[in-house]
Amino acid sequence: MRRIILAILTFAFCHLWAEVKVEKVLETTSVKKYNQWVKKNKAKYPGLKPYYLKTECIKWGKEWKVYYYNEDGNLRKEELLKAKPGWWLYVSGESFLGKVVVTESDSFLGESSPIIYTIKNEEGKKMFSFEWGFDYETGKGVYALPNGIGLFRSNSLENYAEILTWDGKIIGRIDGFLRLDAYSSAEMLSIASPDNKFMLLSGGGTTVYIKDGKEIWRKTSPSGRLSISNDGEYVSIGANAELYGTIYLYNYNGELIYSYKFPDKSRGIPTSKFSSDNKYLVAEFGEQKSLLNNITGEPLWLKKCEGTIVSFAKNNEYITFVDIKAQKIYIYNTLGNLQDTINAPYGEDIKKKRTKEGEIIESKVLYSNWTCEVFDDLIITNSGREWHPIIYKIK
Amino acid sequence: MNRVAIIFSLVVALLFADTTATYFWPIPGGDKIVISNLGDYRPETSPAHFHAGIDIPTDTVDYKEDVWTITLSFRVDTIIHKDYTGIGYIVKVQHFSNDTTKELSHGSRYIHMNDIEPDLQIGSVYIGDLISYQTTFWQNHLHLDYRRPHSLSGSNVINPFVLPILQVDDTLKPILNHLYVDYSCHGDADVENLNFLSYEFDTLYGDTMGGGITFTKLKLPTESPDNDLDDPHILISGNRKARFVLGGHDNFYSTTDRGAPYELSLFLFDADSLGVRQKSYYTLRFDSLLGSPDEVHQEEDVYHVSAPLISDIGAPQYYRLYPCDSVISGLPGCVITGTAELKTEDLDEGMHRIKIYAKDYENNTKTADVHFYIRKSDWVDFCRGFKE
Repeated sequence: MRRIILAILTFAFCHLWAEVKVEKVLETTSVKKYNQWVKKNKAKYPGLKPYYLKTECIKWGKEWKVYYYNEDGNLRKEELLKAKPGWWLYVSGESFLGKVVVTESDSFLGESSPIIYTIKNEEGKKMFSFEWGFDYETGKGVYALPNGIGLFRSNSLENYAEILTWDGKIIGRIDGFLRLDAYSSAEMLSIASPDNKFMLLSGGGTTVYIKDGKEIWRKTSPSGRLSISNDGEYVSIGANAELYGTIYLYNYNGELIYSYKFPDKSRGIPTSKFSSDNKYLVAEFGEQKSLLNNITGEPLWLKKCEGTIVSFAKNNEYITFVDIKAQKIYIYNTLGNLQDTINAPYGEDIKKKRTKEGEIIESKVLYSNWTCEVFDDLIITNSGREWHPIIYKIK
Repeated sequence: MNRVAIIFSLVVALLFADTTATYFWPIPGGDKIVISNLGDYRPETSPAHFHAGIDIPTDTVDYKEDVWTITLSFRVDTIIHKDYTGIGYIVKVQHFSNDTTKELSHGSRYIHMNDIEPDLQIGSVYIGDLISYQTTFWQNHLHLDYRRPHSLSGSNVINPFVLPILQVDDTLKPILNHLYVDYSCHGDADVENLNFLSYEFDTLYGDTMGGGITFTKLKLPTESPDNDLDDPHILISGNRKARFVLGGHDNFYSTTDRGAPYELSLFLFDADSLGVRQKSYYTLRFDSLLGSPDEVHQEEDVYHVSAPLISDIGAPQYYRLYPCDSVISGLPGCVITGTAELKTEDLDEGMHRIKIYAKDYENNTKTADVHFYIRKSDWVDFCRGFKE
């Protein structure tokens, strides 16, 4: 007990007087300004990527335009893509990876049509192409792998999936695993370490831990929201059983190190994030937030506050939470004290609710389709409505 | 005091509890129409499948619609990201009573949305929320299926039309195009057109060939009540084993629709000294797609999928009116409610009549008659043939 108190006091001493001040360093709708800022700061933030391309729908399912930008933000080229007569055409752009995925299918065959995939690079050059189907029952099909590693494609007849790089090289095969799920439109149930060496894939209740494309272990229980430490050494799975949320922590071999059960019942799935040094795990379940000692699983604090975890920030000094609906980003220190709040200026939106009588009621709410990412001491937000990144720096 | 407050709040909760469930059409602004239904055949590169729900076409002006779940209250159980699947988002929900206190025995699944509400979270329960605001749709329709229980597995899909709110206006009868007589593949018989006296049926009689297999193709004209002479008539001899395949489909609001009839049945009408007797043989009914996941993909039990009669999406559909070989290895019992096999080789010599009924969910019924003479002796005894 004395040791715990001592640890907490030491912890508090180191952090109590930490002051945080966040300043906006860039807000733009100009690709040129953004890319030049990234270029200038690339050495310090190697994870930051320039904005390589934008896709625009001209006619839904039929005609698309792709704008390609270079690293200076200058328009490299524009490309108009049109569907073949009687075919559907969809174009997805991975703006920060510089990859375009073109999918084409025969509209006569509708849902039964196999899909022709064509992958293009940041210059609009075709890299490779293949044909693949989608099965509605198993969910087998083609998905994006986390961190922009590449593609995942699965075959339900032979019950396996392949991991492909963006140039079409097959780097791994997973048996008995067919689909990737998502928790929300912005969040896939798959995650990778920053160096892409380790990957956790989850779908249909199964989680698979992968190293360099090879499966190391898999679990069907617990099933839930995933997190992986930067070095791939630890994996956490957040699961909800009968409204009780628990975080399970596994090591590289898939052995359970500890589990932490939140005291209060809630709906939803617990989530967590590791500090980059693996010392801490910040976990949340609904309003309940807790910082755990990642070695022992001991909670250092537990409190109720708004927002969901984004990441540790600025060399693990801070923890960032985002409340998408309130357009707020909260910066806490590791003692659990709120240090600063950022208001994201993404305007309003219409929210619709339906009554039991079928009446649809509209109200104005803050726009909630925006993203928030953390790159050490940078917080970058962007709008889903229009390209509008804002970069904040924690001083 | 505390006890009073607890009792008071319990009473209030009970008074305002609403454990009923209210159902809605998922796209309230759109027309209540469908362009495909349960059981429609969907051959695919891998694997082929019965269509598991209904397809609701989207607004063709700006292609954008709001999508709501069919119950007021729901829990999100699965979100499959649209990613590069080529089909858009898949969202599967569990249905709840209006007040969310009661988990119902069913759920539903929504496919093809290009966007979903960003704050939609797995495991969360919602009341009166939409799942997609002003979304476009991959392939310009919303797919909806109704499941009991709600798991994603294909083994528990229910015909959505059992929910009155999902029933669409369907005033058009199913279409019966042709009856195909298989006399050389699953059958073994000699089949020819049966003209007699001054009655000729040549215009209703033909062949269709492919892959080395020939079927006799009988046109099914619009039926005139009490007039058998506008029906096809054939003569079955040799080993007398004939099997029937029906070419037809259902449509809903337009003659260009292609859906599966809700029910198809084959009856034999035979006459003897006691009069005309009707016997039911084979019935297909698309109530649900039950059975194990392995059984779900046995479309060939229901549809004819080999040359020359290849069922295909959007094309003519060919329904077997007999249990096929794989019946023994396990039928999707969900859709075949009567599996008696009409064995023409066992019938008495003489004239027989089969009647095919095709019904949609609204009970619009189309029928067709085909007459055939089973010949065992060296000659056709027309007196025997037409004693009815």
